[in-house]
Amino acid sequence: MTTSYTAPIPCSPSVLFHFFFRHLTEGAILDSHKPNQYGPRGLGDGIDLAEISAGVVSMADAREKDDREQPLADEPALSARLKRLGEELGHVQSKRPTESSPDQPAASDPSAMARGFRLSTELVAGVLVGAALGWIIDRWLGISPWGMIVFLLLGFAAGVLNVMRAAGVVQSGPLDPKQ
Amino acid sequence: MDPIHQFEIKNLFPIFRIGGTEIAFTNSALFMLIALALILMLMLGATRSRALVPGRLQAVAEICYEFVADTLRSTAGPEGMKFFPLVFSIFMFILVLNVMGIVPYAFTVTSHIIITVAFALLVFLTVVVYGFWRHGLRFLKLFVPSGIPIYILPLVTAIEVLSFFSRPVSHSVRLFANMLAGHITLKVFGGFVVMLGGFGLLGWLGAALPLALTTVLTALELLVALLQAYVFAILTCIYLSDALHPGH
Repeated sequence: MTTSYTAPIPCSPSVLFHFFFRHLTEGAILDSHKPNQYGPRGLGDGIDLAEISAGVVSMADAREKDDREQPLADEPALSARLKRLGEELGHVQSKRPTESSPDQPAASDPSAMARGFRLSTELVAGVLVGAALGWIIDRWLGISPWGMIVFLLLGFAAGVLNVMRAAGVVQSGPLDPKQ
Repeated sequence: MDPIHQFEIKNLFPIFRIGGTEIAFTNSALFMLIALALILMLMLGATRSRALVPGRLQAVAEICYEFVADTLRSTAGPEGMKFFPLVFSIFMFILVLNVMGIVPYAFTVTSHIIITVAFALLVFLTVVVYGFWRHGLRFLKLFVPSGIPIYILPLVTAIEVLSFFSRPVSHSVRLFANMLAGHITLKVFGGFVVMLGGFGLLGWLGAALPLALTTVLTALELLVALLQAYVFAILTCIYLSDALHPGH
């Protein structure tokens, strides 16, 4: 039992491959010529999809033309290229840990700025709370200057303590979970 | 021209009255609702697909989650994760409100101290209530350091108590003051541009300087907006860690 079916269009695998790859790279799905790199940083930025596809197409063509008839003519060139790629890869890998090294903060470290903001308000807050408490106690007990004097001094001490804790100069004392 | 004008609260429409006070829907409430809608849209949109390899929106949501979760775990320990909903809500809300405030004509909700005090008191009361509920009177050990001579103990305890009560003050004033000062600075330099621009060609040349400064300051304000949300969140984590482990 034979079928006399002939395809209306040539649909060998290679043609299909060409068609779909063109379709994929030239506009329909990936509409950008140079897509943004989305992946590990070492891969380099902006892989040219059209270049890759051109290479694939030419490789497929070459395979169709002379299928394993000639051994790899440019074997030394290939090995040189492999060696160069390996060196580049090693270079990238050796560079990677130093890039994200936490030991050396950058000069424009945003967390340093945050610490600065934090320290300035800690002292003021301590003094303000001391003054407010002293004022309330003066009003409440009628011991006019003494509550303010004592609590302003205590508040100043608390502010200094806050600053030293925030700066990490002293351990957090009773608040430290590690003790 | 008035640099304070941007912080004015306007009543949009009245809701109801309590006693003699009218409770109205203000522009502040409007922008809080917008921020809430933005966060809801981000989170619901990001978690709808639940892909193993995240898309852009999902990656944003995952970065936010990982960031807050890492901060909380590193400061309050693994059991601090029970406060994750609180910290994440506060962080995202303040972040979106701060960043929205940079948009021209937008209202900066976090530049009002009543808002930041409400956030700081929420955290402070959570610490106090949870600390007493979890540890009982042992929570008061927070104020009594060990290994201190008895004659100096009252002084140190008083200082510790004052230090504890100064926390919500510094917590709220920091966010409020940063946002207020930054936005006033922006408005003042923007006003310079307009005033100098009225003096003809020489004025236009002079106006280039404050214009450049305004541009730089806007970038700085964006940094401050992100930074202050982060600082507020990390201090919340530190304070909550005291409620979890009140010493010794």
